[in-house]
Amino acid sequence: MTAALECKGIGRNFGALAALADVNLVVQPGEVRAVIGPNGAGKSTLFNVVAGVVKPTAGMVRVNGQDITGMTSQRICHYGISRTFQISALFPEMSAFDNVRLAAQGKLSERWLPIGGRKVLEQASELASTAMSRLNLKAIQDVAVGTLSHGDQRLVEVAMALSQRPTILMLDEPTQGMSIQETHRTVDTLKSLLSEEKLTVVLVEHDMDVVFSLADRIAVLHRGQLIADGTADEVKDNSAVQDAYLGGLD
Amino acid sequence: MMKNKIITLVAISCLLMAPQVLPNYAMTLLTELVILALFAMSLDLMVGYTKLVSFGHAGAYGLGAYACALLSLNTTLPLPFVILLSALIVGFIAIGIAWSCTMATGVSFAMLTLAFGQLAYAIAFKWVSVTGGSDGLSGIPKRPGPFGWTMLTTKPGFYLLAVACLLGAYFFCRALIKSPFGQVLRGIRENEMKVLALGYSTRRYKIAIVSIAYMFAGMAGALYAAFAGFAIPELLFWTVSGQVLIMVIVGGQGTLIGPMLGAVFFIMVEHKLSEITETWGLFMGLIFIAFVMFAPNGILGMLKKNTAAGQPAQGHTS
Repeated sequence: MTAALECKGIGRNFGALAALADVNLVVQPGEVRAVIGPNGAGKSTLFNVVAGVVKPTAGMVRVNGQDITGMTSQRICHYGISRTFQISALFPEMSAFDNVRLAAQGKLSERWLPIGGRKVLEQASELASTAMSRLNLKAIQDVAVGTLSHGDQRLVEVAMALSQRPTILMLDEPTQGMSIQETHRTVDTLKSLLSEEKLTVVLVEHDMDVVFSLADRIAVLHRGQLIADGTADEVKDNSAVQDAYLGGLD
Repeated sequence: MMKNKIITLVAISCLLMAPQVLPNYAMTLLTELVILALFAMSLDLMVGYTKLVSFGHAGAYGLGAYACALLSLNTTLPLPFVILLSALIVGFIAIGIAWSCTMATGVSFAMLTLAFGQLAYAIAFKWVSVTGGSDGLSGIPKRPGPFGWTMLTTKPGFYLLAVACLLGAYFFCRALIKSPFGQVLRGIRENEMKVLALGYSTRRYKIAIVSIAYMFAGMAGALYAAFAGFAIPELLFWTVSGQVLIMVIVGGQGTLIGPMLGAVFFIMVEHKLSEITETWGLFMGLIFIAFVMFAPNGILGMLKKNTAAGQPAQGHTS
């Protein structure tokens, strides 16, 4: 079986700093994979390398067996990677529905039509509706996104990614900056989403509770290197991981 | 929705009826207003819908004027074809300009448009053998036709041609902003990075909208040259770009209709103020500042606010 995502020997230097060194990661279709690590471990860099925002200085990224190394984020999207941003990236003056519809439209081949194109918009609306109802966002669909609560904004962003029906859904700290209640709600929503349908998800997250309740497998980065990769229990018992996290405290 | 349709219909009928009602000198002013409304509306596509601020829109206007002058003087094409062809020429040239300008974003983009505008001005000024230098090109004929029509070359006929161009452009632009393409522009206005991540190559959309905006500005310029009978370098000068930008902002950006109202407001105020004082520019500046500070949504924004406030009262009576 071809892996959904395969990172091979990924390296990325920022000047003399090696943010990533020889990182290998394989995500199988239908798997929810978390990438964790202390601050500055290289999680975001890895995420951005896969999403095409940062170009790797070494290594290769494959999606469904196709090489996407070094492509722009705009092209990578069409290979089936849809992402959310660590700091919500939305269209604040547009309604939640229009936000999601624009995302869905991005994957349709006639997304550029300057005149007419009602069919394209209808098709995108349908995809947007489906994605929003799966995340229980129907009630707020007509509200301008900029006025929504932080938690709702994060979920709208997930709906945008989901509406593109991606091969791999990439979530960059989905509960970042949320209150405890909002985090619970988001985790519940994501959990029910994942139980309804097998999605391939790559998740970068700080909050360990979130990681343990959502992820099938967990990869741990520390100082740019992959130090563990396995199920929750395997990772918890790994001495290198314990050192990294305890070491990170001093 | 219904109410908007009625207002549109009434406005269109008023525009079409004007030659029957108004005296000759008023038609001159009205024709100029229609042309400037088209010019301002074209800039709104960039400023209001895509947040691409152009300081060089006069370049497109002047190019259209010179294209019209050269076509009218050197060919026997009938007037409507000259106008359309001039617009297309400007739109085509704009692809190259847009390609260069969209390498930059934000302020740098605005500065590049200014640079291209001033470049066009310099060319018009210096390339005497083609453009007539500082004298410009004069004696531009309005050639009759097609099908032997002479109507469009008369004063009311030319006015109707200008109105037809304005309405055609307006309905085109309205369809454009409601289309999938228009949705992408809105996205670019609010968060270009995100639009990229959603799989759109935003630069192509920006180049397309700049070309379309320049095309309609060129159409306005061509109409002006035919209307005035001359094309001069001043049409390309950066102060004209500033004026049209003021029209868009004072009228209400991102509305298409607003900038048209802005153009009317600007010219009316200019006429009235210049009768009273030579330093009318100063007062125009103060008015502009007042709008930016107290009515950022422009004239149309104020009108909408007032009708929205009036609506509950209407609800009670019905």
